[in-house]
Formats: sequence, structure tokens, C-alpha cells
Amino acid sequence: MDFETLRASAKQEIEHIKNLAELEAWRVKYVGRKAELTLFLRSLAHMPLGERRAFGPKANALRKEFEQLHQKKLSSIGNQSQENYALDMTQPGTKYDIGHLHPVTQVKNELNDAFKFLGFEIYEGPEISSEGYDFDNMNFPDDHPARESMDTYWIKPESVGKSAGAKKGFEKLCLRPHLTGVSVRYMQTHKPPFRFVYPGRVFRNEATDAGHECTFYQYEALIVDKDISLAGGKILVSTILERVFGAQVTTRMRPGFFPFVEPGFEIDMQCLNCSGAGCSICGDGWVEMMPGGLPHPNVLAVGGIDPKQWQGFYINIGLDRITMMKYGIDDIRLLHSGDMRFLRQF
Amino acid sequence: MLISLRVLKKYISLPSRVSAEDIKLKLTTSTVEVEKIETQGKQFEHIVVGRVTRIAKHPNADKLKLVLVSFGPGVEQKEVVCGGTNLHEGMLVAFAQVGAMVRLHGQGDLVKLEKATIRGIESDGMICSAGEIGLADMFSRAEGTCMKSVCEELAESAEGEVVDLTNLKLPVGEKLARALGLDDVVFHIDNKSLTNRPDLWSHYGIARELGALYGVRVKSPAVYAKALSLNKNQKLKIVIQDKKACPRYIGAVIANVEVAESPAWLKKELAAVGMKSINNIVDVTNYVLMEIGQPLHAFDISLLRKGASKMPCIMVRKARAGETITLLDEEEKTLTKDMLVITDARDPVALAGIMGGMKSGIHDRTTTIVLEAANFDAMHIRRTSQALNIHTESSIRFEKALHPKLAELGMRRAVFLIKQLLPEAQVVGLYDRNYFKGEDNTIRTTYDFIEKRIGQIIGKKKIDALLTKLGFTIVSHAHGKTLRVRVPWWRATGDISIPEDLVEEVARMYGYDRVMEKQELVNLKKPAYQLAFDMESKIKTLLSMGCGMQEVFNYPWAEEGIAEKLGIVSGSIPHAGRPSRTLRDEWRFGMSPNGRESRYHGLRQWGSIELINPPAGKNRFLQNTLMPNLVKNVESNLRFFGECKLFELSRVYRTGIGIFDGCDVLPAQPKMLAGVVAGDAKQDLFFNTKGIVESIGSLCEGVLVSFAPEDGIGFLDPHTSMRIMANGRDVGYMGAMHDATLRKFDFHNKGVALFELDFEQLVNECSVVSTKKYQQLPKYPAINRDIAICAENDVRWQDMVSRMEHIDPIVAGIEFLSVYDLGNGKKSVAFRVTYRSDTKTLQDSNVVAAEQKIIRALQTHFHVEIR
Repeated sequence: MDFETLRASAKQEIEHIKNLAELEAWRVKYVGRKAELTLFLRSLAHMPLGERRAFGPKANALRKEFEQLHQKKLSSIGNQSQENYALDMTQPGTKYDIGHLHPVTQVKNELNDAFKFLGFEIYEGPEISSEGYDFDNMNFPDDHPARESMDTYWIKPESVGKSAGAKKGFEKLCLRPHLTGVSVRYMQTHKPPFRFVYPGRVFRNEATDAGHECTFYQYEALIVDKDISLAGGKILVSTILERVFGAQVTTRMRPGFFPFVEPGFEIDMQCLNCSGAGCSICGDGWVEMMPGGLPHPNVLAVGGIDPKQWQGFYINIGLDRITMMKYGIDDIRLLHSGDMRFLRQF
Repeated sequence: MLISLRVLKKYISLPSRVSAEDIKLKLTTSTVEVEKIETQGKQFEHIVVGRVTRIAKHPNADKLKLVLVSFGPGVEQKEVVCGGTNLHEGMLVAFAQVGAMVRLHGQGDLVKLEKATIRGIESDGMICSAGEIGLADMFSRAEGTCMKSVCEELAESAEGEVVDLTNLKLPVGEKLARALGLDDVVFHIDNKSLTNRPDLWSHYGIARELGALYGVRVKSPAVYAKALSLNKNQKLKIVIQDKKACPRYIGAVIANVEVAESPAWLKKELAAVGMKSINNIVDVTNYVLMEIGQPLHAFDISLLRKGASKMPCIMVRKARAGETITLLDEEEKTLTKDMLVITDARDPVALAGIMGGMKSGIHDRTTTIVLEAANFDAMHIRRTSQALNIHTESSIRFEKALHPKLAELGMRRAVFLIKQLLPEAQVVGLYDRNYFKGEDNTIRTTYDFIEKRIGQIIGKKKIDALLTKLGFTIVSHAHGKTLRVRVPWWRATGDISIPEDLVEEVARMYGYDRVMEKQELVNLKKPAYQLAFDMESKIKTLLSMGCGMQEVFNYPWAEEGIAEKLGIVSGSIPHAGRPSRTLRDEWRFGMSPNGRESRYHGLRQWGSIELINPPAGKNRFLQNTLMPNLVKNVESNLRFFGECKLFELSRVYRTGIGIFDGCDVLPAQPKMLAGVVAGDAKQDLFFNTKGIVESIGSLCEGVLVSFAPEDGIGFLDPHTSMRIMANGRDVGYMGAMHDATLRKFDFHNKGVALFELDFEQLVNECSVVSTKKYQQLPKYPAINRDIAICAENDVRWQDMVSRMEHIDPIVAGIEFLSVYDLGNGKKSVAFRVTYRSDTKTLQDSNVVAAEQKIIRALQTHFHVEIR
């Protein structure tokens, strides 16, 4: 094979090339799959060692040279064409679809991360639950008004089939009106000490408006240990809120009454919208953020935990509320709207 | 509940530095939530009572007058321009001084009044109409509060008239707010936060609490102090049949009563807490209710039937089924046998603890009354009040459990007030039926117990002091460790019964805000890896960030209209996935809507679960699939967007048994993952959706996603729908929506493809993510060769791949490139085969040989031509 002739003709031909089509033809001819040089290089494998040593490097060098020539010409033709066609660099780049997690999911993820860091396990319970777990176990008196259908969605017993609701004392089923019932399910199946969170949605038979929903989200945490106290719980609350809002927030703790805790409290957060001056969102500068308390001894007992040995700390974060406060959302119904004009903002 | 500061101050004198705001904060942070403070008459600042002394014509205007107004001796008179049509000399008017906030001509926002020159005459103030000082407005807004009764009359003035205060004989020069008695401060207390504190449902109760919070002595109410029994000539027979429901009944017979209008102070104080004045007797019962917290009732003794003893009779018993009573609000109620009533010798005269009857109440000519101060069991009252849906000031207090001792205090206070208002009145009979056994309300605990739960050393002395302030008695100490505490009677109705209750009392008195944050959270235990939650977050991230989908949240009920359009009728909802491990029974194969029996478990029917009290009729059924709500989301979003991609991960509900922790038996509630893709080309949408499902599979370690035919779901196009298999297990379905179904929605001519899979089953198939092990990069180069074939349309890609992929060990990969329709039932398919060996650089001949094997196989099995 005559490398020199090949080199000369290749060089001469490329000189006259004016456009990309001609250049491509040249490339096929000299370095393409069926080009003379390519075929020669492929055939090298079958040649005796001496010939391979003699021609191999030469052929490879020539191929490299051709590739360089091609590259050089390509860029010069490329430059020419740029002069003809002015690229408008202000046009938008390729558009990629980027979806969005629901804002409540985003806040839940942040809470999950924060709690996981503190060694909490994540737990979930059923959304259709029983009066036994959501009221009786929770120390609600028999005739507590929350049991009424004005507050709780009850399940038609005929519609659940034969088996569900069959357990004595747990016949009445409902959409859970709060998360706390879930904690007893955990307590009954785990040995203290433990700490866990159980996020989820809950349901109340309520008329909806900008501030009220019949389906909403809560995020609850429970620690049971030998000496977790009010004081220990307080630092948990500030750690978590700081994590979610990215800055220290001012809180206050005040008494609150819930049948399943004793003592119980409410934690208010200074309104971020008005910095506590009072505005249409908060009224008097404080926003109710989370109720909580030390588990009532009856609740620990029903969970199979000796209230004389163990104590605990509950907090229940209004996940929607905290999300709305974080993003400044003023209508809770938007969270269930499925409206992309809303969802794409987060 | 409304609490008047004026009434509070009758019982405690707080230091002068304590403002209403301070009280609000103190109560909120230590006891109950105060929602707001209403400062009466705040908007009447700079408005005073003036007397018109002279009226003259305005020199430059026909309808305006120059009016000279005086404010009493020693105060400069002022001349103002006024157009009031009812002006006359000697008239008392509401005069706004410069600086007052008024609504000019009764319209627009409140503005600050300034000196003005009207038609050349300077006017130094203004004589106001009702609209200008917002009387009418205040009346309508302040329904049920202090303003109502006072403002009602004044607000009713004709167009062009100014407020005429002449008849009220107000002191000239006095501030209007004070002159009208609107200078009280009213606290609005959140009733919910009072649920567990029956002792706080009164002014005296709040005063007692504030006394403890501020360390101030609380005065006792002035009461009738004689013995509660006066039985010389028995005037009334009292029979308590149900002593559990009525542990105490005190009845007083008071003669020489003259029913009349109440004095001004009583009216004003009732008005401040939103109560209407009726007459002196009823007003006293209402006043005691809000002052002391004990509900009372007054009967006219002449309207009570006599029994066998020839005496007027009061009986407390359960109602007879079907018995009726016409209540004070003139409504007739039919009673059931678990309701507690007060009767005379024959019929019910009151619904115990809730409302009196119409026929036996006092009226203008009543001269002898029976005054009732009783104690009723909370649960009875709550049940009856809920059953009849009657909630009164009386029932909301009894519901919270009042102490029988309170009845005594209420009776003593009421008799005192009646005698104060009507000195002629005479107590001629007084009977106390007391079946309450004073229980020993002491709690034993330790200081250590209290401090350990609060998490802070508070000190024994301090704890004793805090409890004592609240009325607790420290009965005894033992070794300085344990203590026995007696609960004050007003807290001993269930509110305080266990040591934990004392923890709360100490903590709130000490101050929640003073409890230091304490680092008890350190936990060196490694949190367990939780596969399901990890997968949930990874898959959600994939779908949103990777696939460009929007996450949505929907309600748990399926809207029947949408479900019907999808051919889903309640009770036969096609479902994704085989019955999972969370199902034990009650699943069965079903028929598809078009009558074909489904292969591949295509359509399974589970019953839908129904709500007794749904939010709306169309939402009776809880969703059995996420699809109807997602489809509805698509429809509404396509109004604004040309395409949309949505997903939801939520639970659905169906008959069968769900496995959850706990000893109850619950229906199945599997978590489903569903997505919809809406846009233009149906084929693209289908493969787009398939790509999404495959990506989900690729995230799941140990899961091989494959597809099987699906023809059981009516809303899917049978030619473009498949079942989704995970490791060979049926977990869901995917496909393009059937054209007939598409037409039922307003999708703006877009197509829709969708998928739904049982998330819990999918996760069950996942193996725990193990740390990936690095694999050596290939040592020898790969060779790619493209093949294009011409095949019949029914030749399937997956079948060809299965023939090709193991045909030769050097076939390292087969990548689909393109397909297009050649017409005549044929298609062209192009794909790329990658050849590689782990042991050597491949020779041309090796590749050619393998390629030939592929071509032969395709020709033999699929009769394709190589293009």
C-alpha cells in the first residue's frame, strides 16, 4: 500500500472542499469503514508479525493525520457557516420537564430528615381505624362530642364485608379523626424506650373554607423513655421548627387540654408574616403550630407500657398549617385542588 | 365565653400596672386561651354629650344651621355647622371633637375629624348622626355583645337626623362611651380551651384563677347566709327519683315577689356578656349563672300541679318515651326515656339542666316563685342536649361536670340578689335534697415525680406554694418526699384526679416558658433503615424530578359521576394489583364491563366502603382506585395547559382485611401509586407512560418489571393496555384511555395514558438496597452493528428480543432504534446489537457469525426480511 500517494491525494482533495457534504464524502473515502486505509488496518491482524511491525505504526499515523485534517477542515467550514447564520443566543435552551413534589410532601420530607437525624423511626397506621383505637384508647369519655358524626366520618358497617369490624369492642369503624390513635398501635408492638414519627392524613366532618379542610395532614412524634420530660420536649420542638423554617423562630408554650395527654400544651409560633405584630393570617401575632403533652398514664397503659416506669412526650404538628406558614399559602383548599398553576410554584 | 372586667373587679383588685392585655397574656399562657379583648366604646373616643343651646341660620346655605353646643359649666361652648333636620334647642347630642374618628356622611372608612370651613363658616367639631359614629354598624356587628341593646334604639334614626340623646338624660359634657355605659373591657375566651375546667365557666371562677396567678386575695360573693332548710310549713314537695342523675336539688319558695324591670346596673352587666334583660327574676338567675357559674331556674309556683299531698310538687325523673314538652323557645320536643326532666305532679315542666318549659315559667303577675339550684350528672345533660340539639348556657356548664357544692353557692347568691332587688320578698320554704357523698379528693404523689416530668428542679417549698395558691391543701408530707394533696372542691369534678394532673398545675403555675430547654435527646442508637419509606421518597423524586410529573393530593372519596364515566360502578372497581399480602379473603375474579371474562386477573371486584355521613351525596364511597380523582385533575388542568403529567401516592379502601398493628380488624387499605399523562399523540403517551413504569422498576432493587396483556379494564384501549408485573407478580395496570371514554370528558382533544400499581406489593418485591459493588470496566472493545428488518405488524419486539438475546455469548446488548409503518400490514424495525467478549478483542468474523445467527433466527421464527 502506497501511503505517500494516499496522503498526497487526500491532502489535495481536502484543499478544495467547500461544504460539509463534500467533507463527509472525503471522510468516508479516507477514514470511513470501507476506506482503503481502514481495510488495510483491519487486515494487519492477519499479517505476520514483521509486517505488522513495519506497517502498523505508519498506517496508524496516517489515519491520525487524516482525522486531524478532517477535524481542522470541519472547524474551518463550521466557522464559515457561523458567519452566514447568526446564532441568537438569547433563545431559550432546551426545555426539560421538571415536576414538583407537593408542598406538603416537601415539608414532610424535611421533617422526616430532621427526625431521622435524631434517631426517630417512621411509622404508619391505617386511615380507616376503629373507635376503640381513636377514642376509647385515647382516653376520650364515652360521650365525648368528637365521637359524634358532626366531627367524625363513620363507616357504614354493611359496606366493609363480613370480617372487618368483627373484633369485639372495636366494631365501629371511622376515618381516623387524628393521628394519635396510631401511637398505641406502635406501643403495643414495640418495647420502650423508643422514638418514632407517624405522618399522615386525617379526616374531620367539617365544612371547608379557606382555613378549614375535611381532609388534612398531621405529623406526630412520640418519645417514650425513662426521663424524657417537658424540658426535653421543648428542645425537640425548637430544633424541629428551626430545621423547617431555616431560622430560629420564636415560640411559646401554653396549657392546652386533650384527653390523651396530661399535662397538655399548645405551642404557638410567632407569625412569620408580621413578625408578631398581628396581621390577617395570625390575628394577634401568634399562630397555633402544634399541640402536645406527656402521654396520659391511661394511654401508656393501654399501649402496654407501665406509666410508673416510663414517661413520654407527644407533639402533633399541623403539617398543612406549617406548610402554609412556610410558603405563605392563604387557602388550605388549594392543597387538594390538583391545580398545576398552584403546584408548579413549589 | 365573655368575661367582663367590670364584674371581675368586684372580686379581685389587681395592681394598677396590670392592663387588660396583661390579663389576656397571663390567662393564655397559664390557663385558657383568650381570643380577643373587646374594649367597649373605643371608637367613641373624643365624642362627648353636648346640649344644643342656640340654633341660627347659616348665612350662605339654606339647609345648614349654625349650632351652639354647651358642655356644662366651665367648658367653652362650640359653634358648629350642622344640617340635622331634627335639631332643637335643649337637645342632647353626640358631639365629635376634633380628633374623633368618624365616618363622614355615614359612608367610607373612619377618618380623623379636623377643623373644617363649611360655606365660609368655621366648624369646630361635629354633631353626629348614627351612621357617622358607626352606631348602626356596631349594632349589626356586635350581635350578642354589650353594644346591642344600647345601640339598637339609637341607631334607628331617619335620614338626615342626628342622634338624639335627650331621652336618655345623659350628663352633659360626659364622654359618650361612659355616658352610655360602654366603658367595660370584655375578654372573649375560647370555649374549647375551657373543656376540662368547669370551674372557670364564670366570672367568680376566672377571678379565683387570676387571684392564684397574681397572688391576690379573692373576695367571696355576698350571699344569703341562713341555713338551707326551712321546713316549718312545707310549701313544696320535692321528689328525686334518679339520684345518680341528680345528686343534689335545692329548691327555694320565695313569696312577695314583684316581677319588674331590672335596675340599670344589672341590665348593663348582663349586656356586657351578651345577655338580654328579661325581668328582675330571670335576670338574677342569668346573672348568677355568669357570675358564679351555677345554672338556676325559676318556676311560678301557681303553675305547678299539686300532687296527692295537696302541695305543689317538683319531681326529677327520666322522661317517659313519647312524652312532650314545650320549651321556653316555644318549640315542642318529644322526649325519650333516657332524658332527665323536672316535672310537677304530672307533666314535665323543664328539661333538666337545659331549658325550662314555657307553661311553668314566671310572668308579669307571678307573686311566688320556686327557685331551683340543682346539680345534674354531666353525661345525662350532654346526651340529651346532643340528642335534641339544644345547647344553652346552662347545658354547656352542666356538660362539663359541676360540683354539687356550687348549687349551694348559686342558691345563696341568687336569694341574696333577689332580696336586694326586692326587699319585700320572703323566703318561705327552702329544701336541700343532697345525695352527694363528699368523696375524699386527695392525691398522693412525690416531689420527685412532679419534677421528673417537668424536667427541672422546682423545689419542695415552691411546689407547695404553687399548689396552695390554687386552693390545694397540702395534707401531709412524709420524709420530705411524698405528699398528700387535697383537691379544692371546685376542681374535684374529674379535672384533677391523678398525680399527672398535679404536674400540669405545677408546670403552668411555674410557667411553661420558664421551663428550660434540656438536652435529653441525644441518642446514639443508629436509626433503622426503612425500605418502604426510602422507596417512597426515591420514587416520588424520580416521578417529579426525573419524569416531570406533578404530585397531587386528592380527597379519599371517589366522585361517583367521574367513576361512572370510567365505567366504574361502586362495588365493582377494577383494581390494580393482585390481592396483596395484606388481603386474606373476599377477592374474586370478575367480569369486565364488556362481558369478556378477563384473563390475567384483569378485573377484580372488591366492594367499596361507604360512609354513613359523607361530605356530599356523590361522595358516599371511599375510593377503591386513585384513577377517578386523577382523571378529574387532568380535565381541570387541560383548561390551562396543553399537556400534563400527574401522580399520586395514597391509600385506597376496599372490603377484605388489612394487616395493621393493633387488635382491631380493619378493611384493606393498600397504598397505590397512580399516574396520568395527557397530551397529543396517543402512541407517544403510551410509551411515555410505559417508560415511567419501567423507570420505577429500575429504581427497585431486585425487581424485574415486565408486562402482560390486559383486556379487562373498560376505560383502557384494549390494544394499548397491559398489566404490570413485578418479578412475575401482577401489581397493576397501564394503558391508553379508550376513545369512547375519552369522549366523555372535556380533554380538549388530548389523549390520556395512565398507570396504577399497588405500591405495597411493589415494595414487597424489592430487596433491601445493598451497597453497590464496583464491576470491572470491559477489557475488550465492543462492536455495534445496526440491523433493519421488515416484518409483519403482529411480530412483537419482546418476542424477537427473547429469541436474540441468548443466541450467542458475544451478544452483549440489543437496543431498539426505531419503527415505522411500511403499509400493507408491514413495518420496518431498526435496532442496534452490541457484541463484546470478556476474553478477547472480537474478530470481524466472530461478529459476522453472530449476526448471521440472529438474522436466521428472525427469519425462521418471524419470517422477517433484512432490509
